[in-house]
Amino acid sequence: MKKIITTLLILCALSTDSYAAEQQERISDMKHMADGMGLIMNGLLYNYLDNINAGVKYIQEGVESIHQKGNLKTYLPEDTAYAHKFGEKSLRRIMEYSNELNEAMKAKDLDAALESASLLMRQCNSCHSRVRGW
Amino acid sequence: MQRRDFLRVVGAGATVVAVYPSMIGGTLYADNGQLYKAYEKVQLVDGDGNPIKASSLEAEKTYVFNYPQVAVPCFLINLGEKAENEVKLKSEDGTEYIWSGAVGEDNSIVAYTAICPHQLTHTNKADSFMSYVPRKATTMAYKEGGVIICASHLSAFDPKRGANNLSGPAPQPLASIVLEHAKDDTLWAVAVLGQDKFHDYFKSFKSEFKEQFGGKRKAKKFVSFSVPTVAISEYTKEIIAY
Repeated sequence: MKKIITTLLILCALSTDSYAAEQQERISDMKHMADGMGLIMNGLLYNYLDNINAGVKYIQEGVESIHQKGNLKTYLPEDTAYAHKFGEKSLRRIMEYSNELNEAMKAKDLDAALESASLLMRQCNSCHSRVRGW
Repeated sequence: MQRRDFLRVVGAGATVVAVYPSMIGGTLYADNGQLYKAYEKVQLVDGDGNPIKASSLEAEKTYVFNYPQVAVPCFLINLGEKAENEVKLKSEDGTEYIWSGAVGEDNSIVAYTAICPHQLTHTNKADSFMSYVPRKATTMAYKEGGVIICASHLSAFDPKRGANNLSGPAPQPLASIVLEHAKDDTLWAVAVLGQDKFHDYFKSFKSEFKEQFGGKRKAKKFVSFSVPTVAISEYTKEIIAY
């Protein structure tokens, strides 16, 4: 009996530990992307191209990091894991809008850049409101 | 021109427009004069170019066509039961308008744009987060089936009542496509009713339009004469519904 209880306790501890690690990874990726969004906003407000480029880089690194984790089903919180296809689509859109932002800055088209940044922000919020709740 | 001839010409013109409002383009008025925009009258045809017959549509099966522009996806559904008539709807900005009802022998055939008015989730060739949930099926978006849902943020729309928004964050009904059912049982799209959000839609998905239509300009081209109407499973690679 003692063995069974000990095994169960160990399994429980391992599972909690694994969940905490996954959550920590998710927080880290999201923070990296949020920092990127902050840099983009700052760059657009203060006309500072380096910040915009760095922001796009951060966001795309965040997307890449999520992709490297493998299956989005296990990456998302348990209660919203079923919406992994939605999450995948959100990541694709984030890549698209950040690439469009890059292109707009290269073309020195500020209006298009603002439009892309706004779509990028909307896409971030779209996923957050679904996965994390608002 | 004699005064009598002039009155004849004006009278004949007014009669033609009254009977076939789609004969003229631009913004026309619905029953209560709101949010009705006429486009070129276009016949719905199948993948081989043969006219779609209203009586041949399978009940509760979703078909997709593009109208009024080549990248605007629309659902055509035979609900399998009579839809309501003269439904009063309200757009996001508070404008009230009247959805006249379905067409077909049983007043059960409806068409709506497959673009969610919340965040413009839409059906495209790669995937569809918009879909019709048959009456006997279940969905997370609403307490019962028989609804059109947006799987992105779980909005549900009532296809029997002009795609009125039933639940979820969608702020207004789906825009509806006004259909004409001809005596020979063919179906024609003639107008869009409701606030359509096309302007925002075309601004938001440049990369997708480039990939699927060869660019935004080509995606915005208006459809003409006839438009292919196929089952949603043929139109898109993957349907995502919760």
